[in-house]
Amino acid sequence: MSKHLPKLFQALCALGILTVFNAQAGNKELDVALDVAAQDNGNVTATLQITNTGKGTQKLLSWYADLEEEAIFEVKRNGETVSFFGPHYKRPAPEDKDFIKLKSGETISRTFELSGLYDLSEAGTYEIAYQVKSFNLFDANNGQIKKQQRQVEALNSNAVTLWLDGISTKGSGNGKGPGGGGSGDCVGGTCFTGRCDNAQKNDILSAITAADQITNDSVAYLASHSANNTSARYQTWFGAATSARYAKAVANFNAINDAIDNQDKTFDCSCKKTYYAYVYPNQPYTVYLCRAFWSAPELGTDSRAGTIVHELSHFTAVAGTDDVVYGQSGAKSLAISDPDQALNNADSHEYFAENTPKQN
Amino acid sequence: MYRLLCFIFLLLCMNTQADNLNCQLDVVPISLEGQPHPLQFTLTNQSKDELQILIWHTPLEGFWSDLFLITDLSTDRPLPYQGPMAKRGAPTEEDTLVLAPGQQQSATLDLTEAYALKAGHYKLQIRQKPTQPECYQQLATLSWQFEIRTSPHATAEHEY
Repeated sequence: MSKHLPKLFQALCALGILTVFNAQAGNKELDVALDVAAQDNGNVTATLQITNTGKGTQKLLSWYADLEEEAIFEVKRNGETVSFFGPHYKRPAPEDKDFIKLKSGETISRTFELSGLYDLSEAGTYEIAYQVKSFNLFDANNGQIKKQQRQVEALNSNAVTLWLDGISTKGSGNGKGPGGGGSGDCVGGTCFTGRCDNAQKNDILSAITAADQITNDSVAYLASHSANNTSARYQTWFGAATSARYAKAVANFNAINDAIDNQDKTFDCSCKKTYYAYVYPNQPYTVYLCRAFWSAPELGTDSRAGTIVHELSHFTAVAGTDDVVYGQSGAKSLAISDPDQALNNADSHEYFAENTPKQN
Repeated sequence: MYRLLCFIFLLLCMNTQADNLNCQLDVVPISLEGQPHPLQFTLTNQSKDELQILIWHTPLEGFWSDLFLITDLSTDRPLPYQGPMAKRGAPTEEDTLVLAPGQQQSATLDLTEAYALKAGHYKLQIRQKPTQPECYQQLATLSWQFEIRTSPHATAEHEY
């Protein structure tokens, strides 16, 4: 056994030399300071300050100073690296123009929102650090030196440890509990795609609770009235009742209620259009939320809760509604002129559920 | 070239004029199953003034609502719309198009992106909405017929 040791030692030495070739070269002249702050709305902001502490000009590949371009932070929850939802780019070799140039003593400061790109939805102790490495971190020419001498260049900041509350899970729809067990970015039966940040996730969960409330109220109204005993609320949005029409209203709201209570739903935050939201009617239960949704109130006319009722009603698997007319005045006219079409109109369902101003 | 095609398939190129705007909607008459089935819409400002036009529910916006009523002529039933449906608030600048005098804007849509078109004969009509330009709403009185054919290979098999 012992006579084999020298060979083993030689092998280890060879490995050691290889390791030297792959060693990470830092840059002692660039200092990176990281500060992380948890916002009241659940968002998490990271402020990065990169300072050239040397005497000459320093360069840094710009992609590695931008969270939109690279996963520049290492984020751990209770010691485990969390998922990164941002893009991974394949890029050509960098050129000189791709580098940020920092004069002696110069600092660049950048702030990024982290919860839209890293999974920070669970409560826990988080450790966050700026941590990047590349063959060309500090110089475009590094990669063109012959391979044996190529070194990975690295740059790190201090690690920030902090407690994050994650997103609120109380009353979130179907009560399946938090987590989702690693199956993407989900809380209970609600999943998120398209870079929803924590503030948006909180707003969505809160809107689902509000949508549940106004849908329960709609179901209760329909259960306590009948085709020959409707009131102003029904007549305003669905017009004159017949037993067939009333049965359709009941079926539609039962289906919307079922979608809220029992179906797994996905909310996507990537839409940048002026709309409230959109769905593909034959692709339940994914709802794409757009700009007007985020500025809408939670309850009331054209609210977030009502928008969720509107969108769920579109799914063929729910009520298969159309957009016959938009807006309260259009929906009121439709109820008078064509009650059958009112029961096929998404906004009519939304306004009946929102019941604003309140009618009995 | 496009005008020549329109002349050959005279029925399929129809236009309407109102409010100093001209609306023209052209539907390709025949295509093969599995291939795109394009439709072209052109809006022209025929006035002497610059016009700002709301493009909601027109092909200029793209598929953001069930733009067309497409009827399968063998069953007389409408095809389900498979594209996105958007809930809108008040229109903003982004929802409008500005056309200088004489300027026109075209959009081409592939009907197969939003409707499952199998081999057969179809009738297309536009769905009228109150926010559309008047010349577009007038297209609602018209209809376009088109055909989707099975691929030549499949047809040959049928013949044998």
